[in-house]
Amino acid sequence: MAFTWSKTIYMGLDPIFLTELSISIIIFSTIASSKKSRVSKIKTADNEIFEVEEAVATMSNTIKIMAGDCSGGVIPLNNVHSTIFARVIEWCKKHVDDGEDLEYYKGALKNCDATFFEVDQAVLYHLLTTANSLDIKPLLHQGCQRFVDMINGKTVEEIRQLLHIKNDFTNEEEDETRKKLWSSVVGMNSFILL
Amino acid sequence: MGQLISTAKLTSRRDCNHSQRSKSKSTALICPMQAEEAEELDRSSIYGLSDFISDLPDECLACIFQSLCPSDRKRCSLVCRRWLRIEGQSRHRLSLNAQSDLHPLIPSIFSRFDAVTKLALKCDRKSVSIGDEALVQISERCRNLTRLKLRACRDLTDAGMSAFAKNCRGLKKLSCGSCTFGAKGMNAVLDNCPALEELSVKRLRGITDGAAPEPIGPGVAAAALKTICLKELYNGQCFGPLIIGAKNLKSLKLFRCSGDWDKLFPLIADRVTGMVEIHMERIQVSDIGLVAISNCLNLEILHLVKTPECTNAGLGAVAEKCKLLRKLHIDGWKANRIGDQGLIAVAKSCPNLQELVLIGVNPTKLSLEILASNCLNLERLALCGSDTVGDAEISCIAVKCIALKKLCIKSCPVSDHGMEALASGCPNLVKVKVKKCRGVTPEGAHCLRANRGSLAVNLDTGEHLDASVSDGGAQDNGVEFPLVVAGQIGAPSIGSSSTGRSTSYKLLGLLSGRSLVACTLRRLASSNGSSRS
Repeated sequence: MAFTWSKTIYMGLDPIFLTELSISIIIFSTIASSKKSRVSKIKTADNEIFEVEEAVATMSNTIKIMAGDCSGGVIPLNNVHSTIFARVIEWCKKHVDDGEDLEYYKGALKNCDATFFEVDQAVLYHLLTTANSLDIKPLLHQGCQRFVDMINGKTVEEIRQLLHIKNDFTNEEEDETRKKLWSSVVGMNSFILL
Repeated sequence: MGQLISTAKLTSRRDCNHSQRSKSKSTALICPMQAEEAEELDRSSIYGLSDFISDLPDECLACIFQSLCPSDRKRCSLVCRRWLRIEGQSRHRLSLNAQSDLHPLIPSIFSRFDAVTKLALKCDRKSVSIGDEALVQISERCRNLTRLKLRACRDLTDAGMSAFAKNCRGLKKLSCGSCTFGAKGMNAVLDNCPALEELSVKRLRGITDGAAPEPIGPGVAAAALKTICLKELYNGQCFGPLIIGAKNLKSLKLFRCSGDWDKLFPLIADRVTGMVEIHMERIQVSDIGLVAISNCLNLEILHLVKTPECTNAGLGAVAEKCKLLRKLHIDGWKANRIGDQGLIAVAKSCPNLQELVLIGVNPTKLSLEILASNCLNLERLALCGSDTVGDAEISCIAVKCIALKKLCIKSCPVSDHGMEALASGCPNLVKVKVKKCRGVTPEGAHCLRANRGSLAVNLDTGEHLDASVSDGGAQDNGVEFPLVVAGQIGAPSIGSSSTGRSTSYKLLGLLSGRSLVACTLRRLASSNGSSRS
């Protein structure tokens, strides 16, 4: 403080005025920063508590609604594990200012979010399920797009093997469905019968 | 620790099994595992393998299916029963060939696709279409229909449309073309569908039957209607009550509908104050109608196509009052009723003009100058089939149209000098199209391209012909060229969706049309030449 005082005297400025000014600046900036960093407290299924900026957390419509009900308390997420939640929050932090346009997110998937989804199927499923239960549409759409890319151009058997799905049609059922599916019953339209 | 991430359906054991199979990264995410336990599970049957996707919620699967192309979607339907079910439930759009043999299939189609909201029923002229009964069955199964498109369904009558309307009261958009029902059917829709926002009718035969045309509208739909489009109707004016009653109407498009529309426009302009867009093509309308339209003070878009009774006076009247005019298209049909005078009036009163298309109109530097100076937001300009647009006009545009982004010049007496002027003007120009302008040679095009590197230039000065012939090396052997073309086209069209096929057909057409002819001629010429020597 003494240092500041001597400096201001040297500069010929009224030190008292400057002190008042600096105090009001400090007060103002603390108010401003506290407004910015309003925190949501979220507890995941494994009892871990996350403190997340409200703007980031409310990218999830589910959390937004629950925050309204909890009014300042801890929001419990009984279906989400901390490790997946951490990833989701990481994604939300990146996109907090990006708005709702799904076309933008489609493009982002190829650029900044490309590595985010380079995970194995287990994690991918959990991300998608979590995005669905937390109602974060852009993340859900990006996750779905990953599947779309995986499925694109593959045969039925290839899809089953890739995603480890059991074929529960009987042989007759499968043949009949396939016949009806692929025969153009009434012309050019691609509708499917069963 | 049994706490795991996903839904209650998953058992912890199975999850741990999956995690062990995946990379170590995900193992840490899900749960810690004992090595022996993992080995045990490893030896389990094939059906113990990770099947996460069966636990993915239906909505997620539906979201995936909706982003797939039609052929991928078909294949996904065959993967397993659950996928077949969800794929059917998540299909909201359906387009059916509405011939009469569709009728017996309706129950099974709509039990599979039980969430259709947008339906197209298209028949062709040669076949018998579905009848009223089929339409009613469809309407009973698709009660949440929001859009219906009917094409050439000639066996649908007023009764069928009426029953349909009573079942699908949530209809927002109706588009019918070449149908034969009449005013009663149309009125039934208007009386039963209070949410109808868009109505598009082309060639409705039923309204011309009978001595006097029955009036159509307004009905409960009138208040919700935002867009009305009428094409090729003999008694189009029977829609008068509907148009006048649609007080929230924003867009009105009339194409080749007979009758004297001058009488109707004063009534329309009086009641429909929010009109934003009016298209008129080959209808009977004159300056009287335009003066009435000038009372639509919110008008932003006006298309006057082949309406030779509309003159400079009428256009001036509109321009003077409709100061929000953003897009103006005029096809003067070379009748010279609209020219510099009308355009100057537009230039003086409509500073927001963004898009101007003039076909068969003869503007000169006089009007273009003022347009360029006053309309500082002019971004898109097209001049087609004009006898007066020459190099002086292009130079004027180049110098003064600062905001211009896209320019199209077709069949105008422009030459290479004009191209030079353009090369050094219009700083914001992004795309240029110059077609069928005999005075423009490849040199002019080259000049333009050379000076404006980032500009997308599209010229058909015979330059394309030269380029493709020389690239294909067809001068030596004309036979090779077509084979090369076929080979290139063949590959992408295999197994692709319909869009892929159409672009490859287009490409084939383009190349075969121009280059094959050109190279064949060359071959003939060279062979003739060589045979002589």
